[in-house]
Amino acid sequence: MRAIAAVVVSAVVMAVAGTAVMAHPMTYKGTVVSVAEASLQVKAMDDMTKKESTMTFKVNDKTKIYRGETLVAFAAAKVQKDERIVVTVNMDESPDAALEIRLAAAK
Amino acid sequence: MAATRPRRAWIAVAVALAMTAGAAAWLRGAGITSRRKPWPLEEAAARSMRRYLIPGAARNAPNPVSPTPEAIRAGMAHFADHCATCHANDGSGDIALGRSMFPPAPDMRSEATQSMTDGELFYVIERGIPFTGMPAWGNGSAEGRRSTWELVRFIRHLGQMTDAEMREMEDLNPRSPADEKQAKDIDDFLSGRGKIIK
Repeated sequence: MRAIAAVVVSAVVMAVAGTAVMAHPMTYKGTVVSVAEASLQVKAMDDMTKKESTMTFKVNDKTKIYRGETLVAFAAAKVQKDERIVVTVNMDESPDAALEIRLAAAK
Repeated sequence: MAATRPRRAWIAVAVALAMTAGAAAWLRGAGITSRRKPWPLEEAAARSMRRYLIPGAARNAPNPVSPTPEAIRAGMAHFADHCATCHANDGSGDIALGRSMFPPAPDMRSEATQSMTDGELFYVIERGIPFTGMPAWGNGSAEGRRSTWELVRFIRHLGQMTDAEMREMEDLNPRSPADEKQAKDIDDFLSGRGKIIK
């Protein structure tokens, strides 16, 4: 009975071995050009063109912002113009939405 | 009257065959992908069958590991190293690998997972689930079983994770030599070393 039930499980969940797709993270190191309420502009090396360019990254509720080792909210991070910044995005899903922002520790 | 019964039976068979052929043609046209979400009926049926297939003795097995901070911490470290790749550090399944499987890795903080007994969670971790991405992690050793029970304690704790615990798990997540180098480059850059673009 259990063997039959196992077959039924297989049929019901339409057995196809799950394929996994790895994310394609991209990290940009640069300097802050401007800061808005839910986005910021960063001057960094564009990996596609190999040229310096100003890129805009959106900040949303999935974005993790680290000031040093401390996880902070975007407003609390007090991002300053011209400060060094590292932004990571997922190129496969949303290349202009910041997954993670890293800033130097507060002085 | 007797002559119509075989005719009705043949009609029923013909209709069933036609529906099967139609469904097969539709499915072939639709193609296959592991990116779609399971239909509610698929999910309900699969969960029901999984519960049915787990032996009662296993389902009702009590967790021999007490819910101490040490046990939860041990489970957390194990989860970060072995499980978070598919389940994410917070157990949400909201990570590239977890989202892309069929069925996707579940949100373990949800009622569907939290309503499972400790024994059921232990059984699934030890033996895996066929035709899903969940492997069988059990190695048959007493140490392995204890480690799995500790994982069960941690799974119960998922809904109360703190930011500090999340950060600690990120440090425990496996990293390749390339990841380690990138982390060092980032630290150096933010510390003022390395080329800057203005």
